[in-house]
Amino acid sequence: MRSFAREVSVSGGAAVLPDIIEFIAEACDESGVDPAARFDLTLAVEEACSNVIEHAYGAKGGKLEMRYETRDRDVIITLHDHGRPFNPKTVARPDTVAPLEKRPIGGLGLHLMYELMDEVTFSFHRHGNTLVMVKHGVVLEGARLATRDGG
Amino acid sequence: MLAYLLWYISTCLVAIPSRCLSPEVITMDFGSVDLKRCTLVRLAGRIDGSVAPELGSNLRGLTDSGRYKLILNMKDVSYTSSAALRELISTWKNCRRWNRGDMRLAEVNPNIKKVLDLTGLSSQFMVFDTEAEAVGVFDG
Repeated sequence: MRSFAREVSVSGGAAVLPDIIEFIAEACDESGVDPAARFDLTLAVEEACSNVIEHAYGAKGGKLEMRYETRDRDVIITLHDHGRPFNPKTVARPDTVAPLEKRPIGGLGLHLMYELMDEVTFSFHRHGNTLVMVKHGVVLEGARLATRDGG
Repeated sequence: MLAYLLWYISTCLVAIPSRCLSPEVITMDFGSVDLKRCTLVRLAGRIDGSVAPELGSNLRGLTDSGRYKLILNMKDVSYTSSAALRELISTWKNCRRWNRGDMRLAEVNPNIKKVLDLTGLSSQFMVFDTEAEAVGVFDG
C-alpha cells in the first residue's frame, strides 16, 4: 500500500481550528480513510490543537506544525509547537462515572484524545513540544490515493 | 393533548425561520423559541473550539433572562468538541441550581452521541429521541 503525507503550518489562536479541521478532513478523504474514522481523527486533532493553544501558548496561540501521514493502514499525526513544556500528567483525568454535579468542567479534551486514538505520545525538547497520535487500521484496503504534488 | 401538539408545532414553525439548516454548514447556528413550560433551542453546524464561546454566550443569555428549562435540539449539529461540552455542562449546572430547572438534549446524531458516551455525559444529561418527548417531560 502506498504511503501518503501532507503537512501544514498555521499560526494563531482558536480561530485557526476550523482550518485545521478542514485540513485533516481533506487528508482523510485523499488518503482513503474509512469515513467512520474521519470524525475521530478530526476531533482528536482539534482537541490536541486546543490543548496547545490553551496550555502551551496561552489564549493568543502561536505556530503549529502538523504532519498527517499513512503507513500501511495506519494514520499517524504529528503536531509540533514552540510553546511552554506541556506535561499531560499534570492534567487530572476526568472521572466520567461520577455525578456531574461533583465533576470539574475541564479535562475532557485530553481524555477524548486518549479515547479516540490508539497511541498518544507527548515529548518535549529544546525546540518545543511534539505530540504523535496513531490510529490503527483505518485506511481502507485498496484505497486509491489522490495524487497531488508536494504530498 | 392534540390541540396542544398542534399549537406546539405551529409555534415552532412560526418562531424559527424555515431556512435550510444543513449539517455541513461551517459555523454554528443558534435559534430559540419559548414554549409554554420550557425554551427550545435549535442548534446547527459544527461547534468547534472557535465557536464554543458563542454557544456559551447564547446559552447564558437565556439563563440570565430566567429561562432555566431548556431543550437543546442537536439534530443538525454535525460536530462538537470538548469546548462545546464544557459550555453544555456549565449550562446544565446553572439550570439545575436550586432545583429551578434542567437542560435536556433531543435528536442527538450518532457522532455527537459517541462523544457524550466517551465523556460519560450521556448518562448525566437527559437525552430524548424526539423534541416532542423532551417537551412532554417538562409538561409532566
